[in-house]
Amino acid sequence: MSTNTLPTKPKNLFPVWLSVVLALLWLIIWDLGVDFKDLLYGIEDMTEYFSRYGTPNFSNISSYLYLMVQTLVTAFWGTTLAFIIAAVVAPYAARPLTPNAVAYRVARELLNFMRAMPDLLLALIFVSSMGLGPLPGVLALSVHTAGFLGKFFAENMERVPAGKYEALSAVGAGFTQKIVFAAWPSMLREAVGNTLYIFDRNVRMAAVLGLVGAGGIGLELHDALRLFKYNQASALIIIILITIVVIDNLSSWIRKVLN
Amino acid sequence: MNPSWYWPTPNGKPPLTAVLSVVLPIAVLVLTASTVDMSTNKVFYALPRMLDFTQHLWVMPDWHYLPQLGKKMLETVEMTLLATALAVMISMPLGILAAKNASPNPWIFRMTRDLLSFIRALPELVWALVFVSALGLGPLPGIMALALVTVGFMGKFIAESIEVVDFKAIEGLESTGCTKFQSILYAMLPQAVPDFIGSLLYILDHNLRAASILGLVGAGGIGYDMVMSMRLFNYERIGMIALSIYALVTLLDRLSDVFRQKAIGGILNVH
Repeated sequence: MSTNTLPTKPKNLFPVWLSVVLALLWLIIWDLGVDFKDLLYGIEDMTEYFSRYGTPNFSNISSYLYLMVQTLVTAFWGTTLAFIIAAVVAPYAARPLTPNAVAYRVARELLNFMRAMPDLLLALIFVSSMGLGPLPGVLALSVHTAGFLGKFFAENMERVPAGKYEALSAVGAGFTQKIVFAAWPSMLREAVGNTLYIFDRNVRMAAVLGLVGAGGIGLELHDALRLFKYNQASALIIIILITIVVIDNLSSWIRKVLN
Repeated sequence: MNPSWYWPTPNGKPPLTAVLSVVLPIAVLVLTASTVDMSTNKVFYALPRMLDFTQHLWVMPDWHYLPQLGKKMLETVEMTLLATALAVMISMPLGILAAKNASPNPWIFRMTRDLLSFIRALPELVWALVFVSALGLGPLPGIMALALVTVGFMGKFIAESIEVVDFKAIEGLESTGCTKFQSILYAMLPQAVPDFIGSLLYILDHNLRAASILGLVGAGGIGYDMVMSMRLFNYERIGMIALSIYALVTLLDRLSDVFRQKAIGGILNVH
């Protein structure tokens, strides 16, 4: 007599998860006091409101374009500085390369700290210490995104096959030599991808840094909306939109070429 | 990799592509330095003031502000969760329509793709500005702005993770005569789940950061208090706010690392 025992069917936990999530959401909606009925009732007002954006006013186009260029340059500088900071810190935060455990922890925590500070908060701090203008924006972007890039680079360096580091250690290579001849050549493609991603992100962010006085097109948009100049606001939004779409496509094209 | 990157080259000179990819960015940086007021002078001039600012932060925190801080931080977290949940609900069908292998026809595929990339083009803060001037102050415009942009990203991520699923499972189901809908539900989605959880965690992380600054334009959360105390040089509060944002973001970062490993390791039973 053979005992025909099938393995027990795994429990389907989906309903449990779903009800927990829904209960939590209900609690949140209740606590925040938001009422989505407002949206439904307000839909007529909303359509009226959005129709005010209907006729973009491009009369100041040259100053808008200059601001957009400034925004792009801010993002570019921010990304480059972030890249430099990240390239210096990342090897210390990568387990196979780090010289000792203390350096590893310090580098990790440093990257973590830079990542955790919102760039607009950093921009506020830099604006109050060096005045208005795009420079504080550049610094804020570079500090914040150096945290991201550093983490990405460190992860890439950890993913490089251990044999490469071992081979270089075997011929007596030092810390810097291992970075230059083992880590970077193996992770170049990922690193370029990450940097492009960060650049995309920085362009978006640079477009709103103007809100805190850190240069770029954001301030103009903020002022236009505050003064109810919807036509200029829509022109600005269109310019930002087109630029971001172009940059996005450009970077995905570069990524495709590299692969 | 592209052979033109290889070094050493046969003729011993550095490869042209490598040289260009270093020289061009430097040239652009130098040419554009004046546009962003970049000068070492200005940076060094600002250093003492930065130090001054940091010294001011070492003051007794304003303990009376603590309950308000807690409330605002909770609001930030709640906005994040609600916006993410809304976005997931909306982006699930959109993501399926925008995946090449799951989309019912190529036109719908193209249109959803373009719609998603249009939605995610503008940053949250721009949408928040627009929604605040449409709906008034409060967390609702913030949630709307966050959810909208998240739909754009989440839809793209869902579509991408559906597109890379293993074809064999789909083929197997189709050989038993299942409908398109059944093959999406039972072959594509289950395979995409680990990927999907990874991107969900990423989005949560991103949204928490975004939610903490949305208050800048009056769209709820801790951001408003942050800007106000910054403008009023209320150092007793700035330190507290910055620290609590730091703690929260770090906590979520660590949690999502643990969670991600579990989800990818298949320990988490989600379907």
